[in-house]
Amino acid sequence: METKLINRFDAGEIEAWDDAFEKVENYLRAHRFQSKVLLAEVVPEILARAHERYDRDSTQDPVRLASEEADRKLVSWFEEMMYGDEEQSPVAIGARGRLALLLMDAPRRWPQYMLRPRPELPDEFVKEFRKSFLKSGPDMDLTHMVPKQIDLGPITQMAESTITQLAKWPWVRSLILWGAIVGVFVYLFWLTR
Amino acid sequence: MSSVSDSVSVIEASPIRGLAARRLVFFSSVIALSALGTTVMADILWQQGMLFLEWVLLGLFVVLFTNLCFGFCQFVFGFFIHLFRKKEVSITGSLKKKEGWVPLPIVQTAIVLPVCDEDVKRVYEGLRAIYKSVEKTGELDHFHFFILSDSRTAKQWVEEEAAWVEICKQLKGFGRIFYRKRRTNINRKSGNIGDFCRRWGSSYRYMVTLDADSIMAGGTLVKLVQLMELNPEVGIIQTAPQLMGSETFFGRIHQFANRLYGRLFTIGLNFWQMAESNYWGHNAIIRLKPFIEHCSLPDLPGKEPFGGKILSHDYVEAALMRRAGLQVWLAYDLPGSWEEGPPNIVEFAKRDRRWCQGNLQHSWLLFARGLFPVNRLHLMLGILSYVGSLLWMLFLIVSFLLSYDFHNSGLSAIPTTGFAQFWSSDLISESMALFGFTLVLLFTPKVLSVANVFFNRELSRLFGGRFKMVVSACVETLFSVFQAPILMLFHSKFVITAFFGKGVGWGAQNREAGDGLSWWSTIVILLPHTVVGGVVAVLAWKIAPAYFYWMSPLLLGLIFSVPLAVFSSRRSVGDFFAKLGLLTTPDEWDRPYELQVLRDGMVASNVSARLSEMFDSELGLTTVLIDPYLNGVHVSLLRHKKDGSKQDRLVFDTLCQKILRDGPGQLNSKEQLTLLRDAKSVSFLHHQLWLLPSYQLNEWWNHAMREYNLHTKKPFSAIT
Repeated sequence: METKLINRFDAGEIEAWDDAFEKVENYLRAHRFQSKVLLAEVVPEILARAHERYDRDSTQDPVRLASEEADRKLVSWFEEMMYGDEEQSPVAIGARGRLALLLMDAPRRWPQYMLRPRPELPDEFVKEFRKSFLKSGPDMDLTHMVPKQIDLGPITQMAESTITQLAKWPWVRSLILWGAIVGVFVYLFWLTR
Repeated sequence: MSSVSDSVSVIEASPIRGLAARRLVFFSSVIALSALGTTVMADILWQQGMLFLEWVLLGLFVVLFTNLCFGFCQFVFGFFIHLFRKKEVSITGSLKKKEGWVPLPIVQTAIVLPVCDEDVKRVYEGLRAIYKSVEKTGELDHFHFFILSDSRTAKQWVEEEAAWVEICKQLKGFGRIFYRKRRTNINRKSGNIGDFCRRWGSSYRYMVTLDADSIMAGGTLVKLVQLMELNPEVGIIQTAPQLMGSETFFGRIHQFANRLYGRLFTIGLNFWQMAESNYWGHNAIIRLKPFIEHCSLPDLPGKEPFGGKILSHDYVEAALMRRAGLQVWLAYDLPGSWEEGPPNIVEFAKRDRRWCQGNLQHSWLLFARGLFPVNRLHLMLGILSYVGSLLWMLFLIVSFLLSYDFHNSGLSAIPTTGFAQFWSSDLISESMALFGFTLVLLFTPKVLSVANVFFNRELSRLFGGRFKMVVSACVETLFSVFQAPILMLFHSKFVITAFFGKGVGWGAQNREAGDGLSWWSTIVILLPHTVVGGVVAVLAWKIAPAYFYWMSPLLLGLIFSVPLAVFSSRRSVGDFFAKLGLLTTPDEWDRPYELQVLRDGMVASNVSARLSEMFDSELGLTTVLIDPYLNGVHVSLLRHKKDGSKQDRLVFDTLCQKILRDGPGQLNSKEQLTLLRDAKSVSFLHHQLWLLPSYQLNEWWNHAMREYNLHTKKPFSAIT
């Protein structure tokens, strides 16, 4: 008879493995795997594997081990469905697989197939998984769009050279402003005589 | 005129019959009216002796009065054409001549929606309305939709991505609706469009440009494509967008005015523009090949605000398209084109500030070689729409000084020379006659527009009925009288500050009414207006009570600018008028399908739950790093570069350690965006957050994960 998971833990380890359980469950729920039945089946399986690794090296953190196993389970499931056609890193497979689940709306439409072994998955499901990918834009067809210079004409060119010249003397604008202010007061003075 | 090749051979456009005669009649009318008013004004001023200030006043009068006559003539011509000339030349006429469908090219029209920090829900609900409307026409296969994002925060970027995936799922729009986030925001909106043209422009024959708040009906889009196919000499067709969706009193006023007066205005505009119309930057269709070849904008001499990158690109692109030999038309009679307006006067002024700077830049192009005279006129009218306010303010100041001088002089108002030789009148009466003439020019367009609707039963019904329409017009007129001096001061300030080198950013417009303007923020902004109004009122009273009463409409608007701005910004005030059936528009009485879809979409509650407010500022980064699906989406959309230099990886690794150790709040906006651009870092961080036990994570992340896990049934992204 297979040893129950709870019996594998020493008394001092329960809390750490409870944290690990919570982490794994949360991770799977983050993938919208909401079925309690599924979680009740898969989470202990993941923890058992993590515990096997823990048995070999008890210095490792149970939460980290369990999280790694959860990720490994997910990635290998994705890889199975992709038939290994694409030579990619686990990170890329993980991203690609999550994307496919999202685009297919798999957790809502097929909750019963989540994390099931490949032989138990219908072809329709796998086919849709493989063709789901994201393209943010159509194939690019690059072209050059180069500004054409506009001949601004002699008047504007004169204005430009004047402004460029004035820009070398920034105090000129200030002088104009002060002159205008003084001019207003002078005029008001004259007006009121 | 050069002809431009396209994938369809260009038919050299035959000249429009009678165009020269049209323009001769139109501009002669403007000049005749302006000359009449100017002569009377000169006669009045001559009586007091033409000193320097009188010449200044006369010069200002000529410019302002001509501008007024221009608007008047446009409305009058529009009115008579609408009434008596049923077969007016318009670009849509070519569609009416052709029987049956023009076969559309397959997948050759791109509908582009450039966005920059806009309300994500509004953008995508607008897209949904347009998409579904196009779908209804059965021509969806001929269109691709592009969201072109220049958004500048991590939160905005992630929200847009999530909403894009969601809407594609809902509409089955993958492969038709695309999302592109530009890495570097160069040259703002025109640069955004230019980037699209460089990447995908060759794949499409036409491009329809929209704003974030634009809505266009599917039937209208199809017709625009057909018109372009039927008229290969046309480069741009601009629709006349109608304002919609406003709920505040201010917004309703402008929306109502746009619907009531817009029709005659655009008919008159088309009368003299014809194939040399203007482009307003959105709700228009553009022929891509010549646009790419001829309409890329050069930099202007000098630095911003007057030089540098061209801000108001639309007018210049129209001028360049025309210079290239293609026509630009205004499809004034094509319905099914909408946009939203600012909800209050402060947002209106902010928008005007951007446009003011953009239009002032066009001064460089007034004498540019190769531009058609009508395009130069468009540029000048654009400049005048803002400089005109400054000129008006100067006119008021100079006339104030002259009035003071006249009253102090003790001179009588009895003229001794000039026209007085031919009739008995004094200066006051002659001035009043000119003033009356000015009022006629000012208000006749409104009267004609009201009459146009009043005598059309069906149209009246769509404005709430004859009586309510007339009352609404009176309310609008009254409001515009009080609003005018407020905008005059704003525009004057914008022109002056631009002259002194103070530029303005091109941020997103806030179209949401919210709760309206707060009293304090409005006082801060409009206190100068109130002070100016008060000071001028006191001085005017001191000169003469009659002068004070003469100035009172202007002064009331300024003195009460703060309460006017606050109350007009309130949705409750807008609703109050709407319940009375006032300031309503045809779209409210007979809501088009597209606006109904938009309304339903905006009203529908958000699917997702939200993290608590403490995560708001880092929401984008938080969700994309925690949520597996958002993470997958984001990583998939990033350009996967080969491993960068060691130095680049060091930067990313440092940022990763920092964010894990200290939380996302310790990264500035630039660092957040840098991180989000690197697929490796985004994946790594996602794994770390789920891998690491809580004691190895910053408490901020633990808190975020706990909140996320609480909401997992209804996760906090658009992705469900």
